[in-house]
Amino acid sequence: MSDFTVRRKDAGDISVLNIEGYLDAHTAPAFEDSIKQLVEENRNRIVVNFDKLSYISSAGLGVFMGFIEDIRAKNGDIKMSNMSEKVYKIFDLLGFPNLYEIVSDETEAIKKFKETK
Amino acid sequence: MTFSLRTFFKNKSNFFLIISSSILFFLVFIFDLAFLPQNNFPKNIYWTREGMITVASLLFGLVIYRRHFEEEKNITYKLKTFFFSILGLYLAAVVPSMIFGAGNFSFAKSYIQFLSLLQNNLKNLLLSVFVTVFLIINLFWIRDFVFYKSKRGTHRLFFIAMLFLALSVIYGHYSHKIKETEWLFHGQSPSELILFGSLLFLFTMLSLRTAWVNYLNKRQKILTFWGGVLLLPGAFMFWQTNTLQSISHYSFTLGIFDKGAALFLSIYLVSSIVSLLLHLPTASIFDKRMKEIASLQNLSRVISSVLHYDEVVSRVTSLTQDVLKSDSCWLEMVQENGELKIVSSENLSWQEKKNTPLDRDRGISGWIFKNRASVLVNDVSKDSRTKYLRKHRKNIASILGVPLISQKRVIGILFAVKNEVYGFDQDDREMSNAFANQATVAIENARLLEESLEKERLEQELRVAHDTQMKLLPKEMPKVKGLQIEALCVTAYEVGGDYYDFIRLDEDKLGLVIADVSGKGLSAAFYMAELKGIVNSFARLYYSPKLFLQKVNETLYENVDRKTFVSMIYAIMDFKKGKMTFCRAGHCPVIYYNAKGDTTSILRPDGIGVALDAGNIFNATLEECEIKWHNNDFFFFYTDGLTEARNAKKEEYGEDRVVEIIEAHRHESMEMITRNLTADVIQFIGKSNKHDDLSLVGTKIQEEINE
Repeated sequence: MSDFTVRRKDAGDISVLNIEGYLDAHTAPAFEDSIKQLVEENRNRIVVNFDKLSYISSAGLGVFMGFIEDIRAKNGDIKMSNMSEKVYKIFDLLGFPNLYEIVSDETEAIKKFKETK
Repeated sequence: MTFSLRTFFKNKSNFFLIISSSILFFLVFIFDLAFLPQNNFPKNIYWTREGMITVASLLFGLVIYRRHFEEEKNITYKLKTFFFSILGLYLAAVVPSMIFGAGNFSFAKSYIQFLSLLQNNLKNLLLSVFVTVFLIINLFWIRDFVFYKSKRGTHRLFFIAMLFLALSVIYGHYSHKIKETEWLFHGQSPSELILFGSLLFLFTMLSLRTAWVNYLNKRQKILTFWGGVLLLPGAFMFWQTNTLQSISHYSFTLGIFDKGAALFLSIYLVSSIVSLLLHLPTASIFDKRMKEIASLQNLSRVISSVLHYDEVVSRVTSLTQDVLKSDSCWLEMVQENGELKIVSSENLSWQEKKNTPLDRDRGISGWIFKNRASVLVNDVSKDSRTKYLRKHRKNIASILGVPLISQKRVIGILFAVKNEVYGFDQDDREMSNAFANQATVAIENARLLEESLEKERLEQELRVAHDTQMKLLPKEMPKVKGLQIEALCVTAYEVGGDYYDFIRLDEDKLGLVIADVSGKGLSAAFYMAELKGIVNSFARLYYSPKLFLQKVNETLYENVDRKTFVSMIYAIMDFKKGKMTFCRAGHCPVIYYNAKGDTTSILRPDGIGVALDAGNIFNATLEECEIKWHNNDFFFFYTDGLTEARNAKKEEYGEDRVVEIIEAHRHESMEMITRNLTADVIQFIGKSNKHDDLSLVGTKIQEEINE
């Protein structure tokens, strides 16, 4: 069931989370922990790379919502990249593109962070 | 036999027995007074007198017998009572002699001696009764002690000894030689010697039975020993005074009985003192073993009683600490992620706990995991396995590590350490091994129990969530002229948060809502309930879907936690104007079939999910969509559980297939369309688990043709 993994990569003040597998109500707590960890370390510039994510449920989407206010208040942001068409559709249906910056690849997301420095 | 005797006398009062006995003794006293002036008793009177004394004594014995077996007492109580009854015996034997002075029972030569004889007679009567009663009491106590943890042979031996004592009494009478008895018998005929020798042998044999000594703790042993020693002078005085001779003179029967019983008592007293003396040096070790056994039993009790995991592990370390008298001890258990963790400890500071290396592959733990055996290191400086531990815990000198093995796997290690070298011995290790076995069972049981309780709790939660959802969904479809309404929800194992509802706004208007609350289980069910409340109160206030959803968003955003949001559609069907107005807040699109053009379209106006945003973005993006319908048009709403339904190959059902089925059945009733679609999805899912709720709502315009 819990075939979900998060790998973290820090580059300067930006942290990239590579997520893989199924992000649903059962695996969401693991993802929540890794973002919480970043926030505790005061690393508020976060890129989430969706390249290897095959499915995301509403509980998975909820994880982003749980932190975004806090992160943005500290002048940080969560940017998303490398979404498959299927995953993007789920985000799109809910209107997430109106709330988050979703870009095609990781380097672009990092670049956007650097521009706003 | 004892049983029937006991029941026979149960209903008779002791008082009655004592009175009867006293009357008999009084009669004997009167007898004696009557015959005192004479030189001797006539023969038949003599026998009657002895008989009466015997019966009176037996009656006393019965009273004691009944009192004695009333209730089983513990060994300390028995020892204390025994001590005082021996003391009582010696006092009874010595004190009357002191008061009345020495003097034997004899027959008056002249009338002048009568008064002193009366006094003598009284003294001897009291002496005989007291001494005999105390001896009977003591015999019962000896019997108790001899029988303590005994085998059947002991019972037989005791019976034979008592039989020989009775025989001695009878034999004494028949030989009838004794007037001035020195010992049991006066003469030295072979038969007498055999009888006496046998009695001595039997009493000595019985006196070797002092098993009760083993069951005393060190303090009790010392106390009992000195108590016994204290009684020795009393015993010496008892044999020194002419008490027993006086009794013999008074009554031959009692004399022999008392001599025998007193002999037995003395032998047993000496034997007990010797036995206690021999046990004293090993008393503390014996105490320790007893404590070990007790702790093992204690743990067995822990196992059988319902306890929490935390409680069991803390009991394991506290018992270990107690029994091994270690300086500190702790229990490391393998956790779910495979790592070791100290789950319980005794006398271990936070710092020490932190410094204890928890490594399954190295050092002493590594060795235990590899060899699945216990380790005893009596000088850690000479053992390389403890190098790592030594570095962090400098004061450790000796260590004992015992694995907890379940199904051939090491599930944890119990460590005990001392700050001096050679702190543990081989016995400690063996005891700990046995202890660890018991502990393993206890811990595994607690773990299993906790797991099943957790499972039970989850299932209970699921049931509550499921029931809540079922109560929130409408049970009946509203009956609206010219409209076919179909709705159903196929629920997942865990409640997925699907919700739909119909609200009658006025005669011509019907409100329709379909929503999916994020998350699962109980929390999703509670948010559903909250949503239903908000929807039902706002629907009658705001007749525009856009305004309605904006208000719902505002309210929900304030009242749910940030992780939770809701995707929903709100539609108002206006029958007067023949149109449907709706807004989509992040929900799955609406499938619309236009009968006039025979086309199917997917309506997906803009709008983000409810409670994602305080209002700015939500209000700005929300779009209202209006459709003027024709006869036989239909609208189909669903939740993502439909399009995201997965089969065993993890393929998704998808929107295309939904449209395909709908188009294939577009000329049928709404009921048939939804039925066919449901059947197709269920077939698609096959045996794999439904991971989300799946809801369908369809409305088909069926205006009556008879215009």
